[in-house]
Amino acid sequence: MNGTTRRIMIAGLAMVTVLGTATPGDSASPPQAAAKKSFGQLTREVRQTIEEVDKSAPAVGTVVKKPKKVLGGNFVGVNANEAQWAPFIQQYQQQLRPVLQSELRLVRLMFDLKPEQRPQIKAAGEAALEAAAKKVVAAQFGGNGGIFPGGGFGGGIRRSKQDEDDYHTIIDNALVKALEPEVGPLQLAHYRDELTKRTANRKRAAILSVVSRLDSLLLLTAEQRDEIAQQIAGKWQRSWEEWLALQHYASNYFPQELDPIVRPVLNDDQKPIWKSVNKGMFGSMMWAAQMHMQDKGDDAWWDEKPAKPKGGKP
Amino acid sequence: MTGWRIGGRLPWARLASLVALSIVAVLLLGGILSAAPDDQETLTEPDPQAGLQNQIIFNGMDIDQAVFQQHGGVSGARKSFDSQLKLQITELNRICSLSTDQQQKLALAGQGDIQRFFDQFAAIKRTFEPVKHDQQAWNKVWQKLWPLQAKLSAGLFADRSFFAKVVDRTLDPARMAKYRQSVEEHRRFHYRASIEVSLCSMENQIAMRSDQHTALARLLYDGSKPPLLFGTYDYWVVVYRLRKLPADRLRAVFPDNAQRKQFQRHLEQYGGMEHTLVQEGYLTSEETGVKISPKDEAPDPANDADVGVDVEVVN
Repeated sequence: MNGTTRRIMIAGLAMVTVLGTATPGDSASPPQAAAKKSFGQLTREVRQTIEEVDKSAPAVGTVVKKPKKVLGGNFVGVNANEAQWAPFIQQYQQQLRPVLQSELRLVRLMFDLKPEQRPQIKAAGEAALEAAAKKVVAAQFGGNGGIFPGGGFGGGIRRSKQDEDDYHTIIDNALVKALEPEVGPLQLAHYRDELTKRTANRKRAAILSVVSRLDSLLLLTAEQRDEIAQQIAGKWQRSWEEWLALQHYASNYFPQELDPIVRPVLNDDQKPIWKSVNKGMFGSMMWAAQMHMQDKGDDAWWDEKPAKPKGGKP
Repeated sequence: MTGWRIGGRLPWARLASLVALSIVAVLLLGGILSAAPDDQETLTEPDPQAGLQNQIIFNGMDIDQAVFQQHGGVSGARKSFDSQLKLQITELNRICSLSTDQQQKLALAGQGDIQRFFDQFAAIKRTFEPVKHDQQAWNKVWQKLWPLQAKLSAGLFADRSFFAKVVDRTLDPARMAKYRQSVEEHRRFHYRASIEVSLCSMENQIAMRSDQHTALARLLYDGSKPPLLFGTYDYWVVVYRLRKLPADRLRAVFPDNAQRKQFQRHLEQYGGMEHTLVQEGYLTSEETGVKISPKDEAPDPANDADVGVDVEVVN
């Protein structure tokens, strides 16, 4: 793991922890703020974990046996290093929980699930949440050889560019799979269609958001706006949904992925302004972090006990 | 009316948290964006041996960074402002075909706005030097800096600037109409983006189907004008306008009582924000019925007195 990656990771975690969610009255909620770790404390913890992992990682060129038993996306049989990443996994689980809650709300809206059908759906969501968090950690820290011997995360989950971005897909797929035996095929198809449309809505919103920010900075013509929007749409990656979080920032920060798209479209008067603008990695899961971290979701509904049959034993 | 105002001013109640966030953001983004040549950590903490633990010490460079971070410092900002001014004039010329004389007048006015901004910044920076070890006093300096940052967000050549005034005096009615039409077109585009993003954010907490999302977006976009300002309160503007939708329209989008009530409960969490939205310049008193007394008005970023700068009058 190189220094820049670490720095981004530390910054991302700290930003997410410090920022939480902006809602009316946030500034008047000191207990909530106090419950959060300080930036310094968090930075120390993250750095300490990185150092510990670095010490225990095999030297470059060391031949390491792959773990013997790896089951799908689970972490059976991984080496001891996984325990060192547990705080990260927990941290990301916490951050991704609002994503799961949001997905569960849609399931609740779409299906008339009976209380006895709900536990397995929720459990599948929880398992997917953990898998998604692990995948994000593996992707963030994977490097070329992975953070664990055998590459990727314990050899079971390997790093790929999309890994860290696919937490939505992991959770969605798990819920679809869990719903399959519970609902009819038509209902399920309707739900899948809804997921596709919602993803399309987010894509459209993220593109509009970033193009409108560009417009305010560069006074784009309608043709330039269209051209940039089309280019972004053509190269779209799901991780770019994170740009939706840009709405919460007053300053003109732009994702660095935009540069090769925007630069060729600009005229000579716009180019110096674009060149002077800060462009950077817009951290993973900032969008998730914008969701309400304290949101408890619909737990009461999902945990509702099935009604006891009349005349049944107490 | 000149320029389209993006970015906003935030209420003073949130200043402290914003100051803290700004500091963190400046430090973090600085760390992220400057690719270190080696593997050294650059995020450092106060040295406990220095006897200054838990005391934040800022220097002049930090103030420069805080205000001009997105431009990479003062000299970068000056260059960027010059480029922005040139772009503004080019755009106006494209829309309204200005004479050379008119372009020169606008350039002069814009340079005046840039110079005034740097003068205001320099004045605040001077007040900072004696208090840089005093965190409380330093916070007051931050309060003075905030309107400057808001001014940057809104744009140096936006409403109430010298540039805007010269535009008003320079363009004849026909050209002014053409220019306003162009500004309005940009605003509509921003409003559409703001609506779409806000609805996506809302869906993180309120489940709605895609057809409901589309229906709400259409109701807002077709049924209301863009706000006067875009910025960090965009979500609040959208929520405010959703709360004002006639009951029958809302019922058409959410025929299910339980879902509609859940949606309304979410909107109610944001009740009473109209005062802030008017105070911050997003919505008008006419739309909201909120009257703001002059003392509650947000500082005018174009006004020297409002940014806490003591202006010397030289006879």
